Amino acid sequence: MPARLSTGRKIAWRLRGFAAILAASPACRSIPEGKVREMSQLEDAYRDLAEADGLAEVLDAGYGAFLAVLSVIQAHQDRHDDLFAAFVLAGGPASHGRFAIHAAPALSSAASARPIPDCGPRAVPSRDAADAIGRLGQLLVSKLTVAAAVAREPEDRRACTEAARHARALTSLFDGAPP
Amino acid sequence: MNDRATFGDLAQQAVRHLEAINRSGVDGTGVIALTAEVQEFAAGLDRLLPVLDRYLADIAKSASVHDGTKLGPWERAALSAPAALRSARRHLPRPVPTRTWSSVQRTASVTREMGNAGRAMTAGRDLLHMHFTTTPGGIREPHSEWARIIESPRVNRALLAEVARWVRPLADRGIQLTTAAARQRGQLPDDLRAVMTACRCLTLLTTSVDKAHAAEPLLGYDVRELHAIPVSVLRPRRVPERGATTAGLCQGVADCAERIRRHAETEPENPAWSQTLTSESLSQSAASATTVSQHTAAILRALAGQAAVKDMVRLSQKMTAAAQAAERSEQDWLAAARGWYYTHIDAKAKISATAAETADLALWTGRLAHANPAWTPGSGSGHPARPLGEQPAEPEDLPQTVNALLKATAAITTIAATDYIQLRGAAQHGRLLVPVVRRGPSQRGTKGFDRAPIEHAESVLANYRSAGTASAQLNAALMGLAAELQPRRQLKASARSAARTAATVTGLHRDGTVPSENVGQPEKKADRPAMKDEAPGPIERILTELGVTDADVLNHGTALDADIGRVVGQAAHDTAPNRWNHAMRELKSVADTDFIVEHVLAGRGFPGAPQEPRPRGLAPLAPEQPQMEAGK
Repeated sequence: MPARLSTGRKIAWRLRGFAAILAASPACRSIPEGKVREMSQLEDAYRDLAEADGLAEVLDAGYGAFLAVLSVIQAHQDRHDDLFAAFVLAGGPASHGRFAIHAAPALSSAASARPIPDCGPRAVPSRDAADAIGRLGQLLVSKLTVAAAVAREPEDRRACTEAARHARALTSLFDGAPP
Repeated sequence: MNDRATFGDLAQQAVRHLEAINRSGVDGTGVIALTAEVQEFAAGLDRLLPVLDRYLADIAKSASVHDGTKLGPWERAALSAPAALRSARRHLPRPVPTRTWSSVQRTASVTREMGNAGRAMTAGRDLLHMHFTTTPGGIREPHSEWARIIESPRVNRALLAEVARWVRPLADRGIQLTTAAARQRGQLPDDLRAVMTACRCLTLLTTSVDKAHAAEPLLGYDVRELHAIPVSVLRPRRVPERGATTAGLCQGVADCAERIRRHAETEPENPAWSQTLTSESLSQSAASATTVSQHTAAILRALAGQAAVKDMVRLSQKMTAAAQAAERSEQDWLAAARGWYYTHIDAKAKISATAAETADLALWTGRLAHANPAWTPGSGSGHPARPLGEQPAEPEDLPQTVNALLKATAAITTIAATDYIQLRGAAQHGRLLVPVVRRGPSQRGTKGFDRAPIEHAESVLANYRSAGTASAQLNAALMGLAAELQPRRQLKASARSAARTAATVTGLHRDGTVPSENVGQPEKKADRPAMKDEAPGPIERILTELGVTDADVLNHGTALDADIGRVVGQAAHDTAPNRWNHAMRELKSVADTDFIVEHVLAGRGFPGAPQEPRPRGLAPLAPEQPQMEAGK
């Protein structure tokens, strides 16, 4: 849990953690409705990451952001999708970014217990989803780079650096540059 | 489009230098000068013969491996040629050091030409040997896709013919010089006589090759294939240029696929401890293979549409079937790639060369599939597929696209096989991990990675099995397509008949004589064997070897070869699940239809034929297992 949080925010983080554990349970996963739409997932992840302050919060929000990306790209991994290749190739950086953060000691157990959310079939144009992932990726790069600079534990620092690298790879896939 | 130095380049260079020594006549040359020239010639021959001897030793070694119980004319020639050459070496007098400045002036060009020819020959042999490696135990192993071709009996014959081609001008010049010297002196001294005898021994060698050619004509294709063997250095890694042509992209795909296959063969280490075995590389390879499959499907769909518009119904159907196979491959590779969303390997290393090159292959095939000349994965497919725009305008242009796709799919099948083997080893040693959060009685969690449960590891492996099978089936479908395109290409060449024999390439007539019109003529430089050269199928080859020159009969043979190719393509497709994980790993295994036909005629590959023994260490193939479900 982040060390510098107010009591209210600590409670909120705990609740979020319980919700994540609940969501991870098989019973919860079988509920067909309640799936968050892809764009709202990315927007929520972006907001959480933008608001995150301190190493632990950035790691928690970053972990959630990579999960959201994994969820959305799976929805767009359809051969008829305009950006099929980019969404398929984005899976690697997103999952490796997630695993890099998973290894960080400062990541809360509640955050790391969250599974990849299922957002169902794609609902928005692929270009919009790609742009949202690109923006989220850029934010991940900047937040994780700063987090790496302030991290005291070498393992945290390494995790942030690794995750930032994967976020950079993710972003480059959607800006038209060669992979 | 072959920018690498080939054996043909070096062979031709040797021929040019050897022919140069025959250009100057001997009439009017004085006795002293003639004697000096014979001595220089003998010294040059003394340096050349060991090089030729090494060639013949290689050839005899291969011939003795392939001969079986009954020796054919070429095998007999291969086994007798070293004896003739050694006999020549024995007769050759020890070289006499040049005594006078005038003799050097007179004969320096002979020494230079023979020296250059020797260097070209030595480089040629080195080039062939570069395609093999020697294990610490001294066993020669293939190092490239060309190794199998070099070891093949037909290319071995072509090499023997090439050696005879080099020896012929040497023997002629030696006899010419010594005869002239004998005319002027009346009686030859012992050393000149010895040179004459040595050259007669060399004539025995060329005669035996000529006889073999007369009995069983060498095919021009085999000689061109020998000449097309490139230096065993991969072309440097490159990315497609903006606005590259279809031909350039096809070549880029083929080069990239060759590099992938080479890396996939040489890179893997022991999966129990290898630090280069990372989830990053494996997942990138799987994702790239997914996109390669998708691009293949897009190209084939577009080509099928183009064929349908031109009323080529059968071709269109074949292309549609191949496109469906590509889509299955795409789905199975996608499942394999998604497996890495839930699986981790705790190793840190830079991306493997195979994974990096596979990403390149995705870019190459993407450029081939899309009309956008600067396509990247992030630019999307909003443009029409390339084949609908500028790609194959004529059906004759289709083979290069199909061949490029064939190589690309062979590469991803190789990746499936090598990654599967690596992953299985990694799973056995507990290196496949899954993220976990352990919660104790205090509800405080500790997190990390745990060894993946058996079902999870099985699921990952099952995904790779499915991807490998689907890729092999796609490869087989493309082979069927290539066979479909073959008769169209060959039946048009109704006037080829006798041109199949090697006369235009080796300078050999059927009766073993040298056609005068070919002397000194540059050879046709062959392209890569599977790309453009017209390789004869087995029936056509038999007909040609029987001496058939009638174009209709040969065309009938070609049509039969095409039918065989189609049957084999179907058989390869049907049997892919049983053999993908080892057959596809063999270098150059199913890279072209002609090889498959040969392979099948040798008794392997037809449905119901005995299966090859499975390599040790590979688990029996289980029936398809359910794909990994998200969130497992």
